Amino acid sequence: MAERLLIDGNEAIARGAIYGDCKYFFGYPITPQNEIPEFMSRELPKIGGVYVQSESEAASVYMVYVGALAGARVMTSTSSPGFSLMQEGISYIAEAEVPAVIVNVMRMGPGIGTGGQHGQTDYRQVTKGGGHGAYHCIVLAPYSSQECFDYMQLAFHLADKYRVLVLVLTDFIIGRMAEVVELRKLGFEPLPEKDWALKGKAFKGGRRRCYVSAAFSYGGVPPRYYQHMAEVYQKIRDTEVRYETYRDEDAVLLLLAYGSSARMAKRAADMARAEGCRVGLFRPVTLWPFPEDALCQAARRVGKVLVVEDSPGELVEDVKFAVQGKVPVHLLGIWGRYTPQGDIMTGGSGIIYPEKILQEIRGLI
Amino acid sequence: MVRKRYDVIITGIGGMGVLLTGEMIVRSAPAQYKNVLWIPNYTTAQRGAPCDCIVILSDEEIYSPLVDQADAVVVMAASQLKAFEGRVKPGGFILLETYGLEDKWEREDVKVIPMSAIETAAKGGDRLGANMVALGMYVGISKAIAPEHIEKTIEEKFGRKRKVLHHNLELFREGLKMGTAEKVI
Amino acid sequence: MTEETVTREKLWGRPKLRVPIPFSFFCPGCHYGIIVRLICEVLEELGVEGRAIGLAGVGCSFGPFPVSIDIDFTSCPHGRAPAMATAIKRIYPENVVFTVQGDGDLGAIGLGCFMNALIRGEKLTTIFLNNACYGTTGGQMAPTTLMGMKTTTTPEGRDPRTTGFPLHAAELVATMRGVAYSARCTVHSPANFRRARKALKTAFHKQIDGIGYGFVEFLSACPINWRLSPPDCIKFISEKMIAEYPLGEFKNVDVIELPEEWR
Repeated sequence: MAERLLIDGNEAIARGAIYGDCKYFFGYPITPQNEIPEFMSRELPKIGGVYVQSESEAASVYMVYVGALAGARVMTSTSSPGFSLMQEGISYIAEAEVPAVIVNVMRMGPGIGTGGQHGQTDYRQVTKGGGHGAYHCIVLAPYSSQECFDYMQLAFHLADKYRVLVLVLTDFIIGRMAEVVELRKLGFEPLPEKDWALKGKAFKGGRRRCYVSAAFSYGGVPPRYYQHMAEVYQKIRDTEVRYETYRDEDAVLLLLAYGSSARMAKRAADMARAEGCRVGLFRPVTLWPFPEDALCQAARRVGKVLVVEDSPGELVEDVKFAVQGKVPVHLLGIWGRYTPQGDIMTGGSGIIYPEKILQEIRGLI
Repeated sequence: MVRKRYDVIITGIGGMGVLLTGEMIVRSAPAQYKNVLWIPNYTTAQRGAPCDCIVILSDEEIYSPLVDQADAVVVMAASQLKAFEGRVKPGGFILLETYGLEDKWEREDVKVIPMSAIETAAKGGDRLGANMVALGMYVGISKAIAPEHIEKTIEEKFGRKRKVLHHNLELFREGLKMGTAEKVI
Repeated sequence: MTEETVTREKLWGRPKLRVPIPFSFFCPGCHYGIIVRLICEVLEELGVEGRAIGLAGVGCSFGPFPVSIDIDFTSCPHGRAPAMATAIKRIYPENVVFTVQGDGDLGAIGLGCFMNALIRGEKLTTIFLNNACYGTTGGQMAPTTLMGMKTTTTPEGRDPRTTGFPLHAAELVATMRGVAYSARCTVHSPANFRRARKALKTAFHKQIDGIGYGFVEFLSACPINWRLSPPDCIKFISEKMIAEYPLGEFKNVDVIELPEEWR
């Protein structure tokens, strides 16, 4: 019987990583994900792992990059400003085709934002590639502590399976929300040895690995890298799309949300149903590969879509693209926030409450 | 009246144990509820800045961690009244610390229960224990959770410091007595 | 030696440049409030408030310092203040440009920008706030954390075998050729406050007189993250912090020596 613990999303991420056989963490403090490096600094030494607090996020990502090149399961975690600093390193990780996991506990941007409050304003950066070079990362968006724990294990498996970077995207609300988590070790299919890793010739039967760049590896012809990656990305698109639907079979309005907004949207769907409005929810779990086909089918069946995101409008672009103009797409974005107490000192700058989503639903039905 | 779901917002000033109070409730709850959730609201780690947390206890799945209006609000610092008066559902209650209270509440559709947690704790020798008194009062009034579960959680948290544990349990029980004496709903 | 009339105003009144704000940004027992006051007094004394431009790094100084001091001020991305200060000073050499930075901003993520500003020998002034941890984010280890000191990422105490030794910024700065002044002080007692004021004035003078970089490091209390009461913090500074980080001037020159052909 697996242990059950009351933990927040950040701790669930850290524990999930350890259950995913990750023993190496290189990071730097930044609100609102400090619980992750703090947990790792306590627990990794106990299991023979390594915690290094680097001098900056830029340094962390290069430590992750070389750890991946060395064939170890490595990770870092950060928040939006730190994630921006990591873009060059991420581009290099993509070029080298090495597996790693980076957690971005999103916060409001741009710039310093509100210093650590919630927001979902990194969607485009995370899914479209904030670094140079037309690469893709797999992006997982958990929406509960249990999913944080489970998806970290999935992340390390997918990273190793496809030799890509996997990004796990949460936010302040998911990171600091505490729920009961079942600490279960997930099983995955076995994967081949990493014979391409840098370990020292003696550990690989005398074979050596020389890595300079992708162009170098692909015989001096960069397009071959892209051709190869196109095949990899297509395999991922065919196999790894994940999403959840909730009460959408007979719905007349389909809510579209991920992460913390999906929590609020689910509640709003229940509240609407209680009033007799047939509302359902489509929740993408992989933001890349985006569940275009499934979304298009569901949206066309339902006939009307309301995107709910704590952003001026990023997810909505992907949704509009997926439905190809066949279905009206509405947006309840960041302007849907309000602070019930009207006091910015305590509430940050408001939240999109289920009550507001319900109000919007009523207006659309 | 046994309800399937309770939610409560606890608010005060950083350093008072606002988050701890919420933690005590949520850690005790799995013994009684299928689903529990706790979420704090603060940014920089600072004493003196307002902070609050939300606790939700339910037999049904909990989707939204954020509630516009809760069944109850525990105001541990009187300065927070104005900001949180509107956060209670009609028919709910506000546990209001009276120490330093200057504002008057306006709503007539909620019950406002005065609480002198700071004074009670001060009499016991340390104002910091006020959060235990507030915890006891909340549990006594709402009956959201059986007191023995809370006491078990307090023991687990403070078990290693016998004097602190004893003191906290005493304050909790005092608050519980005061809360149980209140007739609400 | 000039005489100063100590009036009630001067001793207890608000410095002219101190913006009146009805609450404190800082935790009870934090020394930032004293240091803000000190900066206001010194800028006013030097008569440079009209041409001063401040740059605050990320940390507890990020919002509070710009808001509290009535001069042109900007906050900067983490660690980049010295680079940004360089640019402003080169564009407006007549201005008095200074940075205010914490342990991470100057000693970790910003060390590259900071060292390069020193290498270039910019005519800037830097105020370094050393509380031996990362305060704003909840008390993680900083480059300045003392050996054996417990933080949220060194729960067993900082082990030099895995995390290295405390960074001595003032001494490091003193080794750089383009630096005219480097000192370390505190504000934990009136005598130290007076010495700090003298140091800060000197540091600004190196810029005003066009000599070179001026640097002042403050050892500052952090009751929340040290988990000490404010009086115990003062003890911690006078016993533990000063033992690791000695106070005093590490460099003070009136001329940056140039080779013959560049004079």
